[in-house]
Amino acid sequence: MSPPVAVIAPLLVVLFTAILTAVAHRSLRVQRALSVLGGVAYLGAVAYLFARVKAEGTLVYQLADWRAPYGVTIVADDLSVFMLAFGSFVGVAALAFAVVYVDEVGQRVSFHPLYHFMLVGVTGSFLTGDIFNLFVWFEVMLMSSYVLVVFYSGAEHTRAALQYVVLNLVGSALMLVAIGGLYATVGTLNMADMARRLADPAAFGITTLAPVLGLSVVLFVVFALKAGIVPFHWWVPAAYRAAPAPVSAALAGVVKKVGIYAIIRLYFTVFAPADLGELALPGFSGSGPLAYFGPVLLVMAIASILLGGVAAVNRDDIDDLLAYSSVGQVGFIVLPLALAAFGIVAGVDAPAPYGDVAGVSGLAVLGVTAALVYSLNHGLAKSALFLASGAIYDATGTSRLDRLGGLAERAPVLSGGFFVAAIGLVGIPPLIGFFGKFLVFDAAAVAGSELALGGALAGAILTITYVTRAWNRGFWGTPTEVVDATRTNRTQVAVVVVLAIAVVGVGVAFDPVLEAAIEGAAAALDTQGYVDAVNPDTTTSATSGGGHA
Amino acid sequence: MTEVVLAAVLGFLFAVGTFLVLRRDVVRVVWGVSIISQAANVYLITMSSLGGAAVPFVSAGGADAPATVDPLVQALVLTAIVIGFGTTAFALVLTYRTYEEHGTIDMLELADGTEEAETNGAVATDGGADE
Amino acid sequence: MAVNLATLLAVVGLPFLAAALTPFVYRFLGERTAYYAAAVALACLGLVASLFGTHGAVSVEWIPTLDVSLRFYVDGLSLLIATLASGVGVLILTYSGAYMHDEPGQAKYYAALLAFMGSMLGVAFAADMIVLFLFWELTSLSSYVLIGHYQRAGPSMYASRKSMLITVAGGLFMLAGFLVLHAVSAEALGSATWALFGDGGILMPENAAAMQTALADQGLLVPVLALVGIGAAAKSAQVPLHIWLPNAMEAPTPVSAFLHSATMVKAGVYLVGRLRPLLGGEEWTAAFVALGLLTMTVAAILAVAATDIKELLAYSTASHLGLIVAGFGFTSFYGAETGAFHIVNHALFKAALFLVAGIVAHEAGTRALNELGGLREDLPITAGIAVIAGLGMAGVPPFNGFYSKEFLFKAAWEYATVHEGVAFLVPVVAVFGSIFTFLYSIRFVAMFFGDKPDALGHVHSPPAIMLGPPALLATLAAVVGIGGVTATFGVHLEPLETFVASVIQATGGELGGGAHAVAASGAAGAAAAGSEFTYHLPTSRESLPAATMSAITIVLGAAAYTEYDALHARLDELISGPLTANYYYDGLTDGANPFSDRVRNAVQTRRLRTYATWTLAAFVALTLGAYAAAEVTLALPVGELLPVTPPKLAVWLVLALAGVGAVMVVRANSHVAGVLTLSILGFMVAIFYILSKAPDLALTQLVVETLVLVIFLLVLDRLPAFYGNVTRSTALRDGVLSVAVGATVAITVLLATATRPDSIASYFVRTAYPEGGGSNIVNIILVDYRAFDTMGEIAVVSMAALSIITLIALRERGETQ
Repeated sequence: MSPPVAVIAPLLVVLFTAILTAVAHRSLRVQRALSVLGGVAYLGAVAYLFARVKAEGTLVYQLADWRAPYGVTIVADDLSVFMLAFGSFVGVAALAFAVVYVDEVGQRVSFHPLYHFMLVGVTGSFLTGDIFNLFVWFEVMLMSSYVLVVFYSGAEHTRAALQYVVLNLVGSALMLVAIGGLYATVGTLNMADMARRLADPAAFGITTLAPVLGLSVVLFVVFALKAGIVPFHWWVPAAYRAAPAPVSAALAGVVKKVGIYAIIRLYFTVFAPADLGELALPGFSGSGPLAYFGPVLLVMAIASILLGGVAAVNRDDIDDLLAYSSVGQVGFIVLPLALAAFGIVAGVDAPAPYGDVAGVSGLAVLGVTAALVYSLNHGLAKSALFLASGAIYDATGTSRLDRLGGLAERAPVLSGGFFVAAIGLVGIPPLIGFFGKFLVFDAAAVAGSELALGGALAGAILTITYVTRAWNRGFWGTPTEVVDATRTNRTQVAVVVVLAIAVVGVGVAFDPVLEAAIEGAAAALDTQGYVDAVNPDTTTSATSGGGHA
Repeated sequence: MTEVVLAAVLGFLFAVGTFLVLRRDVVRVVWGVSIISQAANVYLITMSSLGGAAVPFVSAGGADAPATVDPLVQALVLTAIVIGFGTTAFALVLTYRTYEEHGTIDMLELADGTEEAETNGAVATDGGADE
Repeated sequence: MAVNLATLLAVVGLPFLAAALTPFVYRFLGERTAYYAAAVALACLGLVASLFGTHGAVSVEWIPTLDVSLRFYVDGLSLLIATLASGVGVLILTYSGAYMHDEPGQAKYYAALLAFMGSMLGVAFAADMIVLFLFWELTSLSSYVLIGHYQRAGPSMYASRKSMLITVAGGLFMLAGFLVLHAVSAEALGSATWALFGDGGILMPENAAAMQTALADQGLLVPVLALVGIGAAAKSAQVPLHIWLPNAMEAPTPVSAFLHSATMVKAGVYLVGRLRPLLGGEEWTAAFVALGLLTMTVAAILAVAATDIKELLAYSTASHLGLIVAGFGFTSFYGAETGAFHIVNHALFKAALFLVAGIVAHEAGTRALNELGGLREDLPITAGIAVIAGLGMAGVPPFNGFYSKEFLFKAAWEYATVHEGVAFLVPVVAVFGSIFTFLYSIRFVAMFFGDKPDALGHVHSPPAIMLGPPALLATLAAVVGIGGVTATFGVHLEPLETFVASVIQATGGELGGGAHAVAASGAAGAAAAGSEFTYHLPTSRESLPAATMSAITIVLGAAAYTEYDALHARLDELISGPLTANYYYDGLTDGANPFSDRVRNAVQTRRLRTYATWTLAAFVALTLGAYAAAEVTLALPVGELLPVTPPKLAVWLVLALAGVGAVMVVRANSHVAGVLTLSILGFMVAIFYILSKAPDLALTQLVVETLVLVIFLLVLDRLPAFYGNVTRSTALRDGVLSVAVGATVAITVLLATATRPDSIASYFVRTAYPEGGGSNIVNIILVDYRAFDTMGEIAVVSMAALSIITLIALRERGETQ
């Protein structure tokens, strides 16, 4: 059986693009052409993989034909390809914007290879089936994002990057600690193999699962740091502000989602089956890692929603506002995950179409679906907003609301794009943002959690507050001097409009999106299906010899 | 073998690293990060004693596999060391550039620098003015 | 007759399509786009008219996975709202053709108005909760754009944001209510549904009972009532959420007439009427009668305090919406009659009055009540319109508003006689509120009479195109009024009565027959028996209480009118500060800004120290919490320390030296010393790798350590010396956190090393040579089994090189971005 190359095609395409653009730095035109062509080819590869997975089910690529769990396994399932599909779209849209935005010297020096390496890291993270390999792709993604954040190397950039780098380096060390501990406790690095071993520890000579919870928490800290969930969000505002607009768009739209994906993949697919017995901490009930993560995620989600929302209200700079908004919005993504965890622990069902999907709690399917749809919404809308902010900056020389005003009169198309994306964030139907909010609300209602519902409502009202304030200050009002002289770049505006159209289109044609999200959620929750697809070698225990004590 | 000693030393290294990360001097912060990364690598290696005492090296015809220490962990640490080198080197250059931009390596002065700087580098504020 | 799906899709879709085309049309037609828009509205009105006589639900799939469909339902209530939306739309858009002459932003204006009309038609016909919510929010959104029409003006922006915040946030509460209804329907009807009407719809008569039982059993009736009620109250400007409506008058007057009196604000009362058959009962009555009468009274008082004619009309609108809500709040037949009939009457007289206000503002150049007077000379037709519509608003017989207000009095009186005791407050409050209604109505009309202030100058006659629409509306209002008079003598205005009867039927007519049944009351029994609807002047004995209430209203109102100016002044003075809902709204929205700053500054200190502290503290807390929750057993294998063997001793020694190196790094008093001691640590780690049988690692570590040392020294050469003095308290605090982090890691090490599962590692030992083709297992793993790791590793190192180039090459380019 030949390994399905489709699985690694996106990874290889974007990796080669990164290398080629690095080599081709002598000619900006060639470099740009390669970069954009590579981006398009990457989209094509992702589309092909998406179609293959939808047609054939989970696809597994065993590196050099080494059977899992020994070699690094690359797995494309419904969850991975959902994330990859919108991530690649947003990533390439931001790239197209960057070509006409980032200054030419910057592009020639390193922008293109760095950006593509970031996509390499993102793609690898979405697809890998191995936790150490996940660490490696994280590092690839982080290293490129470090440089892209500090790209213009001014005062604010270096300061923001320094904090971003230090916090993430500590995070990387913690991730190694967690991976090492998990390997020592469970005896494997392959995610499917780990899930199988956690479900049946005795068969693999695992004497105790107790440390797994703590180790998984250490890992969670790292993911939360990537996703920017309170109280691990510290680096977000400064880094998003410092990075060039297309990079902020990719960081908020795509890189943040890698943290979310990792949380879903590891806690719902891999760790969920571990039987830890009844938790012995006051305030927690139930058994299993999710019994611990449920309440933790709930508190962090609501804290993110409130902190991000409140802080975003009075920001004078559009990027600053969008950054705090991202902190708030990620809360909306994590909130249904908390409810999903609760659903699994308490066995809460949900009405169709969520019940009976993966043989698990309907509420869990609903919650993860909500998180996926909200991620998609935030990926599209927030990147459109960051790019719009970049286009405004390019046209007026500022992104400060107190120096802007009357943009809607002078740059109506760009303003229209901003408006659509902004009300997408608010959740006006039939935009995709509505369905995101709707599913979050639905999960809260099904879970019967007044706290979650109240938090979501408060967050939604805060969103209206800061979106209307930003709109009134920057886009209505009398055009200021800088706005009067506005000349927008057509290509930049076109990219914003394309994303805005996506925000509307994906909502109007929501049915296939929802189906894909439900399939993604089902894949995330179907541990057995994941294990079966990867099919790790089961002979380990029989042949491990006298190695262990 | 010597888990207690290892645990104590690793805990100590992490504590020292943490303490340094909280300092005002950027260079010390980088040291702290560096110590923490080193400690994480050492930690991984301590997971490697597979029961054997041999170096993970097999001679021809390894049908009778020797009882070596865990080669997988060594491979991971090798990767981690190299990645750590890359990031540390970057952090150092970043430190230098930060000093160039702000004229200080005091985290406190960095933080209290101009708040109103433009995004996207429009206003290159002179951090040196803070002194 | 069955409903035609194509017609419904056309009637809802056409305005949106037309809105999308408006920018292009405007390029060709310019200001005449108004007539294009009016033609679209007329087409919609025609389509709506073609639906009269049909009844039922149709649907077309939208999101089958969620069972959300574009479900539409046609009955009296939906036809009423749809007729208002398209009919008033025709008039308003025509009127705009003259009113908006030379105004800015016309393409946007007409596009938004058309989109609004489509949304409102959608609200009217939607028979699916999600679809209803969709159109509901779209009306709020188009309202936001239209209120902010004069986008350069501060008050417009304030008003549009206020309306958006209140109505959209209210909508979210309604959505939450719908979600609860959806969840309950699963239990009550067997499968969860979003449908209001059509197969399995929760409002279908056959399902209502099961839904009511399920709601009551689960104790969800009150929550649903509250959630949906907030949504309706926000949209229909019920106290205390009414505050956005007066500000919404910043919009051009046609918008005020259309959205903020005739249609959009009716969406809330529409929802109340819609859900009345399902949710009606004691709690319902308590909630909505109280809300409605409170709004009716408070808003009427505020209207008397108003100084601007549009402000007066805005408060009056809120007040009349309160009347309708109160009407639907009663479970009696009279209640349904009040709500249904007053929707019609209010739309007629209020839209006319707004257009009158528009003419006055346009021609006289002011909207201040005290600057207006004696306009009848210059604007005779307008004055006539104002009199007919104004007296209807006042509830003076035989004008149209009188009849619907009579129904309110009847419902209130009946409620009082059935429930007795404090229930008599209901008719008292109704009369009290109505007195203020009478007052401000007369005051509005009075600007056409009396002496003309000198400052006013000559007032031009409005163009015919601006006069036509209000004249038509006033004529219709007059016809309704006259219909009541003729009905007294047996000549009924049958089409109207039949139509209103169908609306009453849609809102449930007389509800239940349960505990709150009113059938026992002899007086009400006769009227409530059928679903027939007639209206006429009071003639019978049963009408006496209500007629008396009307008489009291008019007499007291007329008496109080002589003191209007004093009353107005007192109220204006009184209504300020904490007594007004605006005080809280402004307090919250203005206060949100400094609060936002405080929170931001408190949290984002821009100091790495703060960030790292919280990050690590959260890490410690979460991890230790997890260990505690899973009840890990922490074994301290101290016994294994013995016997001390040379290899052990060597390891200990190396580790001890590493620790000493770390301490010296902390204590280093110069950067160079620190770096050198740091490399002691690094070299000790290399030796540790050798002792751990990892020669490759040791080698790599040595190379890396040397390189890092070199880079460090190169960089340090350019950095100043810096001694961040550490105060004792800082050291203590950081020390505590450091110890906590160290302890957490130490525990993790102990837990992880305490167990030895079957590892996949042995596989590599076995297969590295025969299958991997090499002797050095670590190398084979790196280049073969885990080549992806190595690939990523190379990528990171290459990027590190790129990063250095970037940082140096772009160092001076920050300014040029």
